[in-house]
Amino acid sequence: MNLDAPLVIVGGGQAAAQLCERARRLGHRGPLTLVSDEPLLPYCRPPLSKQYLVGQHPPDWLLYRPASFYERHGIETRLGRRVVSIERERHEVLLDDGARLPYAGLGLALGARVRRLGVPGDQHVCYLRGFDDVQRLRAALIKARSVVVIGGGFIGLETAAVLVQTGRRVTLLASEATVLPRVGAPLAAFLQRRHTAAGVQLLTHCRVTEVRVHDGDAGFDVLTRDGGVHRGDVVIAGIGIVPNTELAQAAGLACDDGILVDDCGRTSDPHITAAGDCTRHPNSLSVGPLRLETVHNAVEQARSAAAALCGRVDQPYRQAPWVWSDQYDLRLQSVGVFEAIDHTVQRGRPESGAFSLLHFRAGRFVALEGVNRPGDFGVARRLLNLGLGPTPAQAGDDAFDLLDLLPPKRPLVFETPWPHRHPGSHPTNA
Amino acid sequence: MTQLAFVIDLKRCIGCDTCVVGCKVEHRLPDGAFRLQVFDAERAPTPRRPQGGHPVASQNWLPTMCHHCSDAPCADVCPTTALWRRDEDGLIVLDKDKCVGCQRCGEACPYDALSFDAHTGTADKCTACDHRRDEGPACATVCPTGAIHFGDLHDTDSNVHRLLATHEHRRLNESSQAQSNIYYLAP
Repeated sequence: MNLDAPLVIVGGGQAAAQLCERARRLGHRGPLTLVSDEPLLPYCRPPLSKQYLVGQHPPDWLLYRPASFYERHGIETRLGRRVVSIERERHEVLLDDGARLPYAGLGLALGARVRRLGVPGDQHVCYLRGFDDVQRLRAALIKARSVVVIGGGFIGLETAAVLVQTGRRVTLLASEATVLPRVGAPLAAFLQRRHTAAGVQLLTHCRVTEVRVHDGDAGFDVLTRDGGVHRGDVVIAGIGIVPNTELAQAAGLACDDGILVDDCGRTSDPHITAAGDCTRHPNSLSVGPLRLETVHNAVEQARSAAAALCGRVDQPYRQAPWVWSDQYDLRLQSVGVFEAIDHTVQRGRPESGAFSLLHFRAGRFVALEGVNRPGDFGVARRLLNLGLGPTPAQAGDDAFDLLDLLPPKRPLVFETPWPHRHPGSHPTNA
Repeated sequence: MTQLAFVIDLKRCIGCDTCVVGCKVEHRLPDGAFRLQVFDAERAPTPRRPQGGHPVASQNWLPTMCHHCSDAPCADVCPTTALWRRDEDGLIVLDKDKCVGCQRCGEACPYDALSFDAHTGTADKCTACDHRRDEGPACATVCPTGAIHFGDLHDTDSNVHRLLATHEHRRLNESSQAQSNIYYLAP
């Protein structure tokens, strides 16, 4: 691609910002416009359900890159503007204010939106996805003494953890038999114990059927299929997200529960790349294409997508996906693809509050989940990216140092030789 | 524009590790944790053992910490913006409250200069003693031979500027294109 030709990036998250940043780093000099339907510059979403929810941080604290970054790199930002259509034949995008932006390359980082409960009374429920959501929720929480959290995934658990620590009464309703049903059973059980010990009333097998305004005051009743009624001043739901693919679909791009891209982020149109939560992409650790809802995916996939957008040599995105979650004094980290696992080995003990689960498929190390064992996580992430890993026997041996499996560290060298100095000479020091 | 940098005189370094101890004391680092290391082994471009023999013998060491690179790979890959380059002085800053312990920074750093604090679950690294700017970094203060210098590269009156203008110097692993801000004077 001509590096002086215009690029348009659509999105308001980390993938969008990374697309812009990487394009400039790769030498793109032409007009570069970022269009986001949110009022903020691209920002980091993970803190919204963690420290930002109850903390004192200003909105700028969330920004992925400060405003000066966009100015310095000549990136025009159109915030609060929505792309209503992609006109592929004309190489233009049409904005909701009628403006048309021509492009030689288009980067889509459309993200995802919350999956809604879809039950009577849904309008009373707070969701947690964007900056506006959290501002509304923070306002609602000011007078709230009790909260019902619907959803036993990361968002629900993180939200429950931060709120119960503020002294509020928290009820968490999980629809499955455990929280985080896709993680290892020991980890799910450990987390349930931790939340219960912290004071969260954690209920499983709870299917919400309705949310009603409580008679007589401003609170709400959450009704479940088993006949339960759970009272809260505020009701929050975190039950997953849905990729924003409508714009791409309407433009005729191939989509299937995500915009389909190759491992360089290319869509079915060679002039359009996509990255982040909105995509489905191949991964060597997975049997089929993956749609990932992680920061890691947003940032790293966008790097590859930007290279494709700028016509650079392919820089395929082939990394083990990873995610983290902070709850209480626990740091959960997982890496790899949790498919068809047939063997799991534990390192450390849950009773100690620090342990890892190493997962294998047909004898091959494919994933790790850890609680307060960041060292294991860091090594596992590197090993998986290198196609390496411990054997089950090594994994189960606490005395075996996983670090020993990594290649040697790079040497520190002066690449330009120093001038020859005669032995015994003593050049004058300054 | 200010660019703070270290200049380390390899002729003066005697491998005493006082800088390591000074750093640990200043930052109250726990056992086994370091923000500065002095290499004399196979990872360093210096002889492992003394060269020559009495009376003509020599040995060199290599103190190294965060290189506060101008194009820092750690800040580039950090997914949470915990690591960033401060425009005011060119230092690479680590906001631990944003660090999620992914260790991508350690993987990307061409100098292996980021350590990992297992207690906090976050990265850890040299801050150039940001909290005591007027006194200068502890490593430079305590160095008994005056081998470590710190200052603004662009200030023509600074010691680091003068040293680089008058001495042969190199940076480590320059092909990484990270643009290190630790300059070494010839051993």
